Amino acid sequence: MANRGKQGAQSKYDHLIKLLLIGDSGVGKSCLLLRYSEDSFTPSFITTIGIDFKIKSLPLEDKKLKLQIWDTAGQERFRTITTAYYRGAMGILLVYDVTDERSFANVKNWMRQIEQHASESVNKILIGNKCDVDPADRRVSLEQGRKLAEEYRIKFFETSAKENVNVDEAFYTVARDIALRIDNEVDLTASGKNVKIGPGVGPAGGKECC
Amino acid sequence: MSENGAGAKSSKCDIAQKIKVIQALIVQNPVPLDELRSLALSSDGGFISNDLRQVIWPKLLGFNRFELRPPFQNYVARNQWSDQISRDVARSLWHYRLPQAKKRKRGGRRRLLADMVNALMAKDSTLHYYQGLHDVFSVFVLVLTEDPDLCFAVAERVALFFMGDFTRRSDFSVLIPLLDLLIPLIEAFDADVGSCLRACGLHAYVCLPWVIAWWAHDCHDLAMIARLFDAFLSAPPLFPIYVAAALILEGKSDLFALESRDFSAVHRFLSRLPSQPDLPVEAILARAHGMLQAFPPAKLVQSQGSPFLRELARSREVHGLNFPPPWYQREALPDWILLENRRRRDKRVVRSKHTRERRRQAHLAGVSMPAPPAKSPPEGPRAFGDRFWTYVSPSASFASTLVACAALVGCMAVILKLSERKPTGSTS
Repeated sequence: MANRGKQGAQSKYDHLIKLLLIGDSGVGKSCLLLRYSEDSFTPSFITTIGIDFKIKSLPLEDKKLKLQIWDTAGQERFRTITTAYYRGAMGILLVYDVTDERSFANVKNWMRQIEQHASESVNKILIGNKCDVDPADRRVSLEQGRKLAEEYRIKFFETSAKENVNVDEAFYTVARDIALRIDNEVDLTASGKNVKIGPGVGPAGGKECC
Repeated sequence: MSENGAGAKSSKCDIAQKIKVIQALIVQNPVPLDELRSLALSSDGGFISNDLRQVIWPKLLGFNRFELRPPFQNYVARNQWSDQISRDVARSLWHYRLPQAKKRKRGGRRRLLADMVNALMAKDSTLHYYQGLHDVFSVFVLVLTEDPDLCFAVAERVALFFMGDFTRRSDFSVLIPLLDLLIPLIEAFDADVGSCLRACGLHAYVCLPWVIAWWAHDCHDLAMIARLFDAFLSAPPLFPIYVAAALILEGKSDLFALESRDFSAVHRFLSRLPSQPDLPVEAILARAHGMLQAFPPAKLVQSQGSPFLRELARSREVHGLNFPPPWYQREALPDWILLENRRRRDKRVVRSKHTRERRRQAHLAGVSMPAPPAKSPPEGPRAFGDRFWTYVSPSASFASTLVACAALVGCMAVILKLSERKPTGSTS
């Protein structure tokens, strides 16, 4: 069954869930991913050029999820490359920086990108990162973030990759929602038939899912 | 891959021998640049030391490192890319394994790096900055530490020529079809690896940072990156794609040993290849050079390129194919001649000051002298004063000295006579 019960020596999992991190350059996408996948933080971070991903296993009730989390370059001119990965994503984490108003204002542009390039059923979540900063340095309030997320009818978290605030929760929420959606879709489909859930990994749907 | 890593670990004796060979080449007149290029592409270690790179890189790029004007700092200005540049520079220069002393200088180097990128973007507002260009520039900052203007000149030429397909366009519309050449190129030399990559649905985006940032983003060993830069500066601009293909082919046994050869496993394996500490860089470069000769870029684009890329190539809009560029030279003057020329020119300036002074004196004395050349070329006609000093110099013949002295005595006599007459005139 697609995406289910992969019987590799190391990689037994029930669902392979493909997530994508997007947002302006410097908002902390790679730091969030590092915090989540390796539980570490380093201020000595380098820019992401193009696209990269990390794997994280996540137990969910009686199931085991394998998260494949794609990290993207924030600079606009990489969009032709990164949008090729939207189609294969099951969940998108849209990140802004609470100390950078422009990154918050750009959320609507990123939402437009999602509408254009991602599949309709994709789960989205809004993340305001760097919430550990001094209140004096904050430019986007918690309320503003919450309001915008409500406008788009998506879930919202304020996180800090540095202080490990809400990082696990944000990823867990989106992964759980996707797993539930997949289970529902499978249930809705005629039982016993093979179901291909979501396009493959990689640009324009690769071929990973067996 | 570790068994091939020996290339980088040549013995001290070997390295000393190679340095001697390179030193002998760079003092020749003219310097055989083609020989240096083939040395960078085929011999172990490239140009070995940063001191040698300081001499050789500008020659390969066709400019005189002693004639860099105006200072690049004149161009530093805020531009449309400044915010992005400062964000990227703030996250740069971390990942190289450097001695502690060098790490302490990071703040200053970052300022220089930001200035260099900002100067380039402000100097030509039609250029487009991309994340990764700052990584390329950071290598120049760390390797060419002696002269920031030289560092900028090298970086500028690389950005305009070698990275022209990325800096002269607002998007990566040329990069994407160029990256698409990777798998056909691999297939042409190893069908097994090619079909493995195709089977897992891999896209060449995995090697995007290798190509646009010349491995400076992915590799952590500065000496290895500098070695790769020796080769990139000696080869056509599309060479990094060949190096990417060669890297993947060198890793074939490890690729086939992967437990799972699905997309994510292969992508993950390949994306981490350049950061391996024991990367067999010499073997990779030798293989890439062989591939370049067997399947040159124009032929590769023509036979494997997308219709869009072929069309661009026909209208000469692919910078990477416009090789060699106008500044490309097969030979160059050695530094000792460049320095001598500069010294001679600087001396002439000093001497012409003397000449001006003598001219002033002669003018006061009422002696007419030939007009100086408007703008004196390096070997142009000499002024009267200069000629006079050549007549009386120790190297001049006795006869010419005699004639010159006689002329001088004659002049003095005239001056004395005039000065004697003046007071009488005034009294009467």
